[in-house]
Amino acid sequence: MNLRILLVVLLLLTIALVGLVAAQTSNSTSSGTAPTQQSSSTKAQQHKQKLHLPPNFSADDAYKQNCTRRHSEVPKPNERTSKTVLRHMRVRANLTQDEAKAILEYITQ
Amino acid sequence: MIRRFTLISAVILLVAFLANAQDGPQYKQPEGGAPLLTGFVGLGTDFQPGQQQVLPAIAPIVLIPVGDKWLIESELELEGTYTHATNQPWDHEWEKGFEYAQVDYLANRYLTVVGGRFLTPFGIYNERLHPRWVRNLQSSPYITGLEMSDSNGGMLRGGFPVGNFVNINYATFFSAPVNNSWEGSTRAAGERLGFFFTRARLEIGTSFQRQLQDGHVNTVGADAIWQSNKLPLDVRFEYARNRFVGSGYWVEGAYRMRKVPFLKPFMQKSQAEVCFEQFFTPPVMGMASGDMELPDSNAKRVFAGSSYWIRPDVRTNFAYGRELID
Repeated sequence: MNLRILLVVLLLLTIALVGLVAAQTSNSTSSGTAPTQQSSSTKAQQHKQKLHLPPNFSADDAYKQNCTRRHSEVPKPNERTSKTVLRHMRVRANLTQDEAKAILEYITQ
Repeated sequence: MIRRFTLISAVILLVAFLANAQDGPQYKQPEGGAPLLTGFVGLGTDFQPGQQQVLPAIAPIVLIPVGDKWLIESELELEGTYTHATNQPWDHEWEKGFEYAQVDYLANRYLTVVGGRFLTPFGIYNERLHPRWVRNLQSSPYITGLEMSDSNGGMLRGGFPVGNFVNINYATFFSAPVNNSWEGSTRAAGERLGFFFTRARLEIGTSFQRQLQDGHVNTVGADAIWQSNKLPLDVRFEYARNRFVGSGYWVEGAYRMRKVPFLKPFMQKSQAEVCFEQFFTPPVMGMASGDMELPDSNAKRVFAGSSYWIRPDVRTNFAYGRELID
């Protein structure tokens, strides 16, 4: 009986989640995001050339692939302490050297 | 069967509350960065039938870079538990201890050498998710009770890309026995190996640790983190097993609601979270769980919660859960 209650709760939450996802998906497809994506892509390309990153790897990607997996909100970084924080995160999150450099540039620019 | 419901709330007041020498003398910033004093202050509450708890926590963190390759870092954590049971007076206790106090040496692009007291690299929760400003729900999963939380000794770790689609990360450690209330640890050795598929944003890891005192006991684990490329959705999973103490898993989903089309000012800073976990005791109890704070029998628990960021460094969290213990 209790397991049923749990399953019902989970099912309701899943339905609510799917509803939110559907609402968001329809919202994002109807809004024009092309200029933002183009701007982001150009910026990423510039980062890649400057950091000599491997193909298909950008500073933008490095930030999103690593930082946003743990931190939902990241306070605005202080330039003087960003290097210190990145060194800490390189150790804690096992970032590769290229990722750490790319993220540092990304958050300080 | 015991049934319990739990209502937990928390306010993480400050995440990074102080950067040092803001108004100090001006000098050229060193290549390695500037020393940093940061940390968090939090206040939580936990309501269960017949029991109420208030849970303050303070954790100052110090990061001191030295040159281009060294980092000295430490976190002191003070956690209070103020408990009130029906017809009982308030009782309280404070746990004090160093979460980590370590020296890191970035030997090369593939290897970092760590010495001192560090968070044990087992699974994903202990090292990456347990800080209260990172975790989605304030209650720790059952299986964290059978994983070592801190070690005193040495660790080798690092990460490197293999091709353009996967990063491999590793950590291997040895811990010496220390019998000290502030920085105790067990003699043990272990490792974690992770494969992060960057395009899919999927990381899969395995963990192993062997306790080398009071009987040699192995604990094994597996974990996974997936972040959707298209939706602000995170899914996390961790499993651990110790044949003498028990086994269990937790799975958690978190959805950032920034693009929900109603109540936008609120939703942009909100996140919905769900966590389900189970713990299984071994058929024959081979070892007392002792201080591990594990259930005495099979148990399962579900939590649903919500977080709201007042600012990027100030967060509130509410969760409601049901726990069933056989």
